[in-house]
Amino acid sequence: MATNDSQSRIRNFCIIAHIDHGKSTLADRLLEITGVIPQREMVEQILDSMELERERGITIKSKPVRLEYTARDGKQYVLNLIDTPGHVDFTYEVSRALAACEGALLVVDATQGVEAQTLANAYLALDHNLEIIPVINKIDLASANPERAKTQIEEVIGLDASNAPLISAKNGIGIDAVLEEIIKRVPPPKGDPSAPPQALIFDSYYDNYRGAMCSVRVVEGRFAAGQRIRMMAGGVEFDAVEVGTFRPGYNPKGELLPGEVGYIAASIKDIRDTRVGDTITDAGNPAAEPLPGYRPALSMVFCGIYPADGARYGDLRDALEKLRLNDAALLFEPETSAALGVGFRCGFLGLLHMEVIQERLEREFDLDLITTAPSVIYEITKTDGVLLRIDNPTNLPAVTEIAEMKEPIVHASIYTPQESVGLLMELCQTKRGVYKELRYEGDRAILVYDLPLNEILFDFFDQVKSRSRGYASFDYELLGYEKSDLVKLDTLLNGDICDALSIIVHRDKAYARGRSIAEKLREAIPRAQFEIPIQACIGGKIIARETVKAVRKDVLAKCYGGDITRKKKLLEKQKEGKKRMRQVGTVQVPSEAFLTVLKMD
Amino acid sequence: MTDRGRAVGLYIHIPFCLRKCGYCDFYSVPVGEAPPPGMVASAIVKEMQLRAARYGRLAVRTIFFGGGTPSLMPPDDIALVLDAACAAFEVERGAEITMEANPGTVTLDSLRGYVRAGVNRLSLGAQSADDRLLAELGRAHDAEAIFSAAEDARAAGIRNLSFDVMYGLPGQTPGDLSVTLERLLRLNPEHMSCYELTLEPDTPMGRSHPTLPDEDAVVEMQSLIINRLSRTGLFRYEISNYARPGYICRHNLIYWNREPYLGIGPAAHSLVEETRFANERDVTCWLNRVERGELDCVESETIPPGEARFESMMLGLRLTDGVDLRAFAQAHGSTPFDVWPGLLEEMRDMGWMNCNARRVWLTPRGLMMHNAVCGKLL
Repeated sequence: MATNDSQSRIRNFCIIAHIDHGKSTLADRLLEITGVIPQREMVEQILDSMELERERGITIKSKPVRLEYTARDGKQYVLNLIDTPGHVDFTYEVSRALAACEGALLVVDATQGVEAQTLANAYLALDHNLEIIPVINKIDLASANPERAKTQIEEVIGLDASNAPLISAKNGIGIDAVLEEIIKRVPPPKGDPSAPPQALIFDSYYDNYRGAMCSVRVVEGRFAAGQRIRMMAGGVEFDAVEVGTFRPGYNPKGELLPGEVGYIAASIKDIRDTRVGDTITDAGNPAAEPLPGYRPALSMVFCGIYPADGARYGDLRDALEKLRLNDAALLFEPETSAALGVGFRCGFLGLLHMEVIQERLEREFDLDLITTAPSVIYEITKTDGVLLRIDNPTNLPAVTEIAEMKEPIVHASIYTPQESVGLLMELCQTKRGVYKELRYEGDRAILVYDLPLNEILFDFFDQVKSRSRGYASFDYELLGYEKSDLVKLDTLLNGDICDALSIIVHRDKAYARGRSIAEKLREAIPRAQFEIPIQACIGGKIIARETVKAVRKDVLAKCYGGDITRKKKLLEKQKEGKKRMRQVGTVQVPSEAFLTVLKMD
Repeated sequence: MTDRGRAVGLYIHIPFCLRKCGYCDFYSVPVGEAPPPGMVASAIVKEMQLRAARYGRLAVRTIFFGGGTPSLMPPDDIALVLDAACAAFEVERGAEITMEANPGTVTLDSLRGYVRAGVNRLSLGAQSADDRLLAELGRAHDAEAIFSAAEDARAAGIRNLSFDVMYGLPGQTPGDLSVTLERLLRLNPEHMSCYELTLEPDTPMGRSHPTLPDEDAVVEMQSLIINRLSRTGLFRYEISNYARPGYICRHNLIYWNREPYLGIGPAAHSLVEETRFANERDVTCWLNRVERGELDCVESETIPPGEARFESMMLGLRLTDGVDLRAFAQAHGSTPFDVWPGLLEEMRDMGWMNCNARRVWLTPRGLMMHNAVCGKLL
């Protein structure tokens, strides 16, 4: 039997847009109009349920929801909306979510027109052979220019925008037209219910009662409770306990058929057994091949995370464990720093992922953290032939024991308006980039460079934004490792090495970085009763020196009857401030100072 | 311990000024905008009577009129207040009665009136004898006014005269300070208070971020003061205070020895029966309260024993004589060595502290780091 009737009435789609063009608001309206969420229960941006997602206007997790809609043709359709993350760190997750769809709504702000991310996302969708439906949003605004937006879509991206619905997601205008376009243009899913089952995991998350849950798109065959399932890449097997769809809560269902989007619960304890991109099949009737495109999650960026208050180490461990339940890409293991005490070395997909985790730890678990400079993994060949992979500068062997060092290189594509190309090339050049290609697509340019990953760790993303007035965006993938002339840059405070401040840099950059770190620390470290020399050094060689002058006086001129309470409060406040200080040898270093090595001019 | 029967210091806050100085964050209002002095004086009298009703007929060892500018209150009103104080409390014979005054607000006549009312110590807000710096500070007088006020004070019979001086002023050099000291010392004061300028963030000067002399210069100025004054027989007895033998300010000593004091008037602070409290800051609100017969205060905290011990050290160590061990033990039931085992010895080894069988005190270096010392004790 080929495509049955119910399968022909499924549409799987996602929404892609430049930031702030109204993706989440449109999703809200679709949920509302299809009755998934009654209007009275509606909160803004319902799919971005994490506080952080709403606040930063970014989507971190892919979230599917099933909408039922009776179209003008009188038939009832099932529309599966898959909300996708929107950042370069999550490109792989986005690609898996797109792979679960047949179509995409491309939302363009009528007042802004096509922007960098519009373009990047449109290309990503085209790569996955999705049917793209342009939607012009915010037509109710006085400065809206829908015709210009349409023209741009046609000229810059090359999509037909003549039938693009003109909508205002905010005011609920034109939402019906969007739904009708989806039904008309997005192809129904293919797939044979009797074939060996294949389901794509496009997201996974941890549910306190059901264990690790897989969000799946069934491609072939059927899945039902009681079935013995196998993770094709992971090689592990489980018994499916429940299958169902999202409305957006769990809605159990007898079975999931080809083209359907839903969840499979199998009492899986560890989220790392539900890898995004893996294919689930029937253990008794396995598919011959997994679905294409699986890639293991790769930690690219590492840093040490320590509790500002050493007594909260246990709380930090519990918090990381809770976050890992839901985030297979988060790695962590205990580490000890002479300066910071006990904490964890953590691995992340990228910088945004790192920031998101740090913020969630601080907010959701009320922790004060000290974070060390992010590092990448370096490959070291020692003189005795032993190979090492180092993610913490402190563990680097002595220079005399190192035969060769290699660093990770990424292939970076920067999407930018043409006028910013010069400034961005200059940036890539200063970041030791190797020019590869410059392509023009319409009036946009795509600048391709190979860049050392450690050069884009610090301020690259901010620089790309500022040099293009916010228009450019970039994406990268790991290319491999290359031999490089790297050195370990240490910082000495009053003669003692502070391990938490050590970084690995290219020799050509070491002097400038050393000077900048020493200068910044001089500002950040409070004066003590003795002079504090701050030295940056490579091996035994001092390359920069600054001095924090000693305090000669620390006294309040007046203290009479009315000043006593105030003076006590002042002293108590100073004492509180000291709690946020770390003792490095003889020197008190404020937590914030550890961030100064991150910042560059 | 109860303070009943223990003599207190009586502080009376006079909340007017001619105008607000740029560096000052004490409570005062321009004299034209405040209730008339006579009305304030009657309210002060009323408050003293209310306090006496609450605490009994306290023995009063010292009286201090602070401000604001107390010399903006006419002698008759000061006399009214002092008479009422003697009626409400047991003011000791020979009590030190200080009045703060600003140059330019006093005349020979008014000073005679204050002396007649009972004032026996005058603290003149000189601040500097340099007209440029006086203007910079926003003071309403020039150097000449200081000299004539001092002469008038002597002529009126003031035998205990003090000057307030500020240093570390914008653009000031040690040489400038030296000139000021010479000019003021010629007037033979019995006492001097020399304060390093503290920029308070909520003052016009604090907000204007002036360039102040660097730390080395300020330290040099302080040494200059200590040396110059001691040559004239004015010895340092507190971080910022200098006196001829026998002329230490007894009222201020009450604060530093952590003895009880009662504050009267708007924004005045008290420490009575181990409770610190402050009066309503706004003069009109304070006046209305007093007139309704209320004694509520805006902030009040009862000091727990541990904090009281800390306060005794924080305050006592401001004095060059430091903390009297027996008095400390009497007040708190243990010695500082028991309360902070090892710590005082540590500070002695750092060269910050000294002790003998009777006292612990800070060395000149320790006095310079008084905040850090307190930080360790906290």
